Amino acid sequence: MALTWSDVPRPLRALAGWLTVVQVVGYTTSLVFVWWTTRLVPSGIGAHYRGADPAATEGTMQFAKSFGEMLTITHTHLLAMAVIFAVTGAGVALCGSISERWRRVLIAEPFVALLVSFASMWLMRYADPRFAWLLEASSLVMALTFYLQSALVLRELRATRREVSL
Amino acid sequence: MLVAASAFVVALGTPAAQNAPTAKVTASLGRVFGHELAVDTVRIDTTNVIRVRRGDSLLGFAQVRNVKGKDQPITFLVAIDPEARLRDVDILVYREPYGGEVAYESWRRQFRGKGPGDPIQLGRDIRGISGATISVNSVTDGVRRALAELAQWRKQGLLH
Repeated sequence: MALTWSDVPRPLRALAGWLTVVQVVGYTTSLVFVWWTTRLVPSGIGAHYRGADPAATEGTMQFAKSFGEMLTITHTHLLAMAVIFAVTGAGVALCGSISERWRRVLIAEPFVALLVSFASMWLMRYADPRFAWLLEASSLVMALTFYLQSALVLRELRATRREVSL
Repeated sequence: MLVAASAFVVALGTPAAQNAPTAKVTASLGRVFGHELAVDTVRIDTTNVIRVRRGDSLLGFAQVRNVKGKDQPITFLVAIDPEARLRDVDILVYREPYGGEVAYESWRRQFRGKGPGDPIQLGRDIRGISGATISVNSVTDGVRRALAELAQWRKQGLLH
């Protein structure tokens, strides 16, 4: 018999609900930060990692990220985001109202997108700036999946609470 | 070639300059003022200022200072010409893992030619660097203070 949210004790469901809400706020804040630094466009992403000619730009100067900075950005984001998607993935795994096939897809997708995003970040920095498009696309899919996962978990938790109270 | 290079031993005796290797200061002065230099030091209160000449011509003055970065000191050289205008700023030792872009030529060149009457403030006449805000602020403030003091000493006749 498959484990679902209705089998989970109420205090743990409350923990899951609040954790999901806080993660949504945190993820949204990180997107605002990325918008602030890159304007969420490939040219801005390219300038952020590859730098921009100071003579051709105004305001804050942007220089190419060093190898050490690239390593730091990669390992901190990969490890932290893997934990975030492990949490949301566990939440989706307990959603009994979704077919198992879709649950598996939703759980796997962000991890694939993470690997594609950071591979394209390195390729953009050292191979070709056009990989910024791939980075933008994979990051967009990853963000949409995160919000979908969170919405499904919150919906399931709410439905479970109603079931229990009935 | 620098003449009287041993004078740096005196010049580097100040606490602010203790972490700047003599070779780096020598190379920096060569970059800023050129070659065939003669240097000595002028002591003012508790600090030393490097006086730079070529033959009978006074080229300017330089001082090695520290400012605090995020956690570590940033050691830099500030050089002025005889009219107390900034000739150049050079980062001698940068110890933090981030923010080392303050040593880049394209950022440092903003200081050249500035005098004590200029604001030398981030966002006004000095551009920032993405990802290096603390170091940019620290070095900019340090350069402004150094220029103000050197210009004041020059005006008072203590540097001649």
